[in-house]
Amino acid sequence: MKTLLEVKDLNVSFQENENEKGKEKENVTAVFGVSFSIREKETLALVGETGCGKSVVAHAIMRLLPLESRVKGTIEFGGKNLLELSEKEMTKLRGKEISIIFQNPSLALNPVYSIGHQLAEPLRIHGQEKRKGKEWKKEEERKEKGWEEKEEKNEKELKMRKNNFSKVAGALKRVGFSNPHEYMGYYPSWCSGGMNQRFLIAASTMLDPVLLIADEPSKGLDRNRVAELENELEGLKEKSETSLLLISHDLGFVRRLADRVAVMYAGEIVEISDPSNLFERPLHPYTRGLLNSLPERGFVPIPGSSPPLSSPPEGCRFHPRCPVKEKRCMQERPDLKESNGRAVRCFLCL
Amino acid sequence: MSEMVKKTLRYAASFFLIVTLNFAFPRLMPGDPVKNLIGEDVYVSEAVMEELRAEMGLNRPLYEQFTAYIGDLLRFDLGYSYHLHSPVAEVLRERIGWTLLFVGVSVLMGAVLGTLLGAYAGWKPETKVNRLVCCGFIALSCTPPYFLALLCLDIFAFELGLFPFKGFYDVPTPGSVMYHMFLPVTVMALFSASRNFLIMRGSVIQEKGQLYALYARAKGLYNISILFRHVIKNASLPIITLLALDFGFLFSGALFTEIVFSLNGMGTLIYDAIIGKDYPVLQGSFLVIALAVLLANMLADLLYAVADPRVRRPT
Amino acid sequence: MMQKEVYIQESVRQWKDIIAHHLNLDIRKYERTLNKFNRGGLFLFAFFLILALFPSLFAPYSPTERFISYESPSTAHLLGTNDIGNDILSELIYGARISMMVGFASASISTLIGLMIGLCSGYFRGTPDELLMGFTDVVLTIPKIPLIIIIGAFLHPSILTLILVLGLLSWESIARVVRSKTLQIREAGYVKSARCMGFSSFHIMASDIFPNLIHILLPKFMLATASAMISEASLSFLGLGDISMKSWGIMLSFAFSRGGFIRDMWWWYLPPGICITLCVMSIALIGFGFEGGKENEKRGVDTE
Repeated sequence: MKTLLEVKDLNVSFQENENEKGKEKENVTAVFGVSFSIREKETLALVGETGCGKSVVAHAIMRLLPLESRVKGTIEFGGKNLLELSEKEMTKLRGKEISIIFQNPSLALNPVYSIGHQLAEPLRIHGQEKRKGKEWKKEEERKEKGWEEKEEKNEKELKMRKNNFSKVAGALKRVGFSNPHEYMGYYPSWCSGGMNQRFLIAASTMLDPVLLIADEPSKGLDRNRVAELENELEGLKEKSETSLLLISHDLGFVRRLADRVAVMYAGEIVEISDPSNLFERPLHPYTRGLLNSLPERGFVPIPGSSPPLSSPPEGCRFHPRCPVKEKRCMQERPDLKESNGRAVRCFLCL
Repeated sequence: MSEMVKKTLRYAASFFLIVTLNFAFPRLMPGDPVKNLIGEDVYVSEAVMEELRAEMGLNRPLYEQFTAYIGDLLRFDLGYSYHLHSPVAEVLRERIGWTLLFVGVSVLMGAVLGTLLGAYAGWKPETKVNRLVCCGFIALSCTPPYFLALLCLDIFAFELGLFPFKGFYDVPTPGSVMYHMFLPVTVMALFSASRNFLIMRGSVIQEKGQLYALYARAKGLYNISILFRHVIKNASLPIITLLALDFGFLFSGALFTEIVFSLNGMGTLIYDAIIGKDYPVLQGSFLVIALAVLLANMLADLLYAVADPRVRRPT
Repeated sequence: MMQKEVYIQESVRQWKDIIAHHLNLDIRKYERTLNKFNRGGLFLFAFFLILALFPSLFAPYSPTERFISYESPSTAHLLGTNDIGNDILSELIYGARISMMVGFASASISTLIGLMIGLCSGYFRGTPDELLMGFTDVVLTIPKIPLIIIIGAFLHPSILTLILVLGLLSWESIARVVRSKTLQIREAGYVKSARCMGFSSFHIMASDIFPNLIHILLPKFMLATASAMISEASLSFLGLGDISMKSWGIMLSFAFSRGGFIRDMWWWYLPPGICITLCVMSIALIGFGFEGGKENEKRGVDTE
């Protein structure tokens, strides 16, 4: 299988306290040397605690980070380095080839536009581009036709609108709405969070993106809703060619969906593995701790708390909380070592 | 639905309060109510005063006076101005058209100008030009409107001679109306724009940080089209309400501008009435202005309900 | 050396902590948001405040002293004299006190009323809230300046009535803001626990809720002052001001009605107008600076 997305040495830092003069600018490095790849039709899950930089990775791939952030490294997508593209080129990719599902669906939908309008938006944005190219070629033919041109254009617009309408209805049906025409006139504030979530999935998958990023889709949903969401994502994986980057802190959810799992801690990837191996034979002490903190495995929390990203500990970032640490863990930073399909960032494993 | 009832009740209460205030002022304020009702500087003899007192029913109980007053209002009888020697309603009818035209045009222009510039300034608040524009509008909003009018009159009419420095009193043609109104309308439009600008700028700065704006970007919208397709509609919702609340303020500003430019509207009428202590005219003007503002608020409420789906949620 | 620096930094930090603790005013938050313009506003405001507090130090003459009337600017009278021969510069300097006093006094009244109504309405909720907010909405729709004009015309103008009328009629927006903030705060844990411990409503409002309202009251107070000063100037222009206490508005009004404008005496009508604008602007800028804190908090993507 071909590699679709290759992230190498991704570093993201934010400058804080910009306005304060005289003081040193404080840098917060949210993501530190993150490398991973996603193959076609594969689902990679990124798991970790709140605040470990998962979402930042997602936003960095989409280039949605605020202007004051510094992004280093390479993100190769279909042979292009996304970080080097101009904003214009990037907008053409967004929503069409890479799209994202945000973690808070009720806020991600615009409150003042109807569901139908918002779902049709990707079609409108990216449909226009295509048409522009074609129209340009046909321009001269058209000029000869004279007055008919306008009528034809109107007709085309109408056709496109009808087309969009049926596509939106189809997408709504796909995510489980039996009477899509009614829901198209609804507004996000009239619907529940679960419904909005499905609208959002429908909007993001409208154009069959090559890569779909799901940023904590299960956050804030109750058990039943998570199960439904799981079915939807599974269906999506089966039906389309889409690769999925799944970001979550819900381990059970990840286990059922992912082909490979990357565990992040304090801005770094500490372990990459296939789910069955990861859950049965975790290597990194952090992963072990994470699994032990699951309710079904005894609810044992990891002692201590995540370090602040503005001043991470020296050496291995996990050492202050590590039960098996040695002296060199506190001084040297371990690299991500790979062996038979698994990778782990620890001196003591493998 | 109960929200609708509440709103209607509030408007009814406002209306009642305005009418009651208007009824109460001449009777509660210090001085002889007759004097307060006909105006202070009018010279009348003792006998005529007593006659008027009886005629106006001032020696009858208050509730009778109030019902009589309401009856008068329903017949559009707002009293008689002894200064202008004509019924107040007639005087007001003559003047209010001009003021409404003046206020309407300048408020509309100010709303469009302020909203668009404010939206752009909020979208890119760091650029030099936008900072400069922002400073300019802050300065404008801090200037008393009549001082701004005075400055413009001085510069453009006196020094440069581009515009007339007096209003028109003859039969107006569209050309002369434009010629006379240009400067005052510009001043008022700028003044109202400055208020909308600041609100819109803050609103856009807030709205563009919302998640839906980021999602619009993730859908593949290019920079400025996020503003026009997504942010502007959300950000301009508070403008609708504030525009209505501001309407009273702008109306007052317009009065001052009229005075400075000697326009033939309510402003000059009120100014003359203050100088001449012509209370009936003042009361009538207050009533009319207050009702106009009330109407503007009702209109804004309706508009808001149409524009914001969150208000008209089906149950 | 190092230690000393750290110590100094630490002591400054402690000092700020104390202010933050006792007044619930975190200066650091404002320091960050106060940009050049806000600092400029602060400077300008200090200047006007000093003028208002000690006019006799700066004014060359007494404002009531009479010279030849309608004189052009000269070294003796930097801004000339007016129709009755008063020195305009002295008048201007003494006017600062009156204009600012009207502004601050009426803003204090309106802030106090707004605070009480907003606090009660937000804390008690239910029927009192409905009634108070209904009343606020009703008052909000009545146009202020025309109402003030009519009251001012019936009452004979004096500075006290002006302050009272302006103060009593412009509390609605403050009440609304205070109410919504109070509604938020009353759900906080510390208020709930205070209620569980059986403190009286008044005690909770005064010692738990009020301190958290200061940072929204402060900008509102400043903006109320600014708008009261504009209103005062406007009313004075209509001849509804107190002629015995010459504020900048009255100076402008006199310049307009007593020949300063017709004679093109810019040194008479420009300075008071500019002073009003600058003073109002400096106050408004400080208000914006206090308000700006919220704006900054919202920036940046949540780095979840």
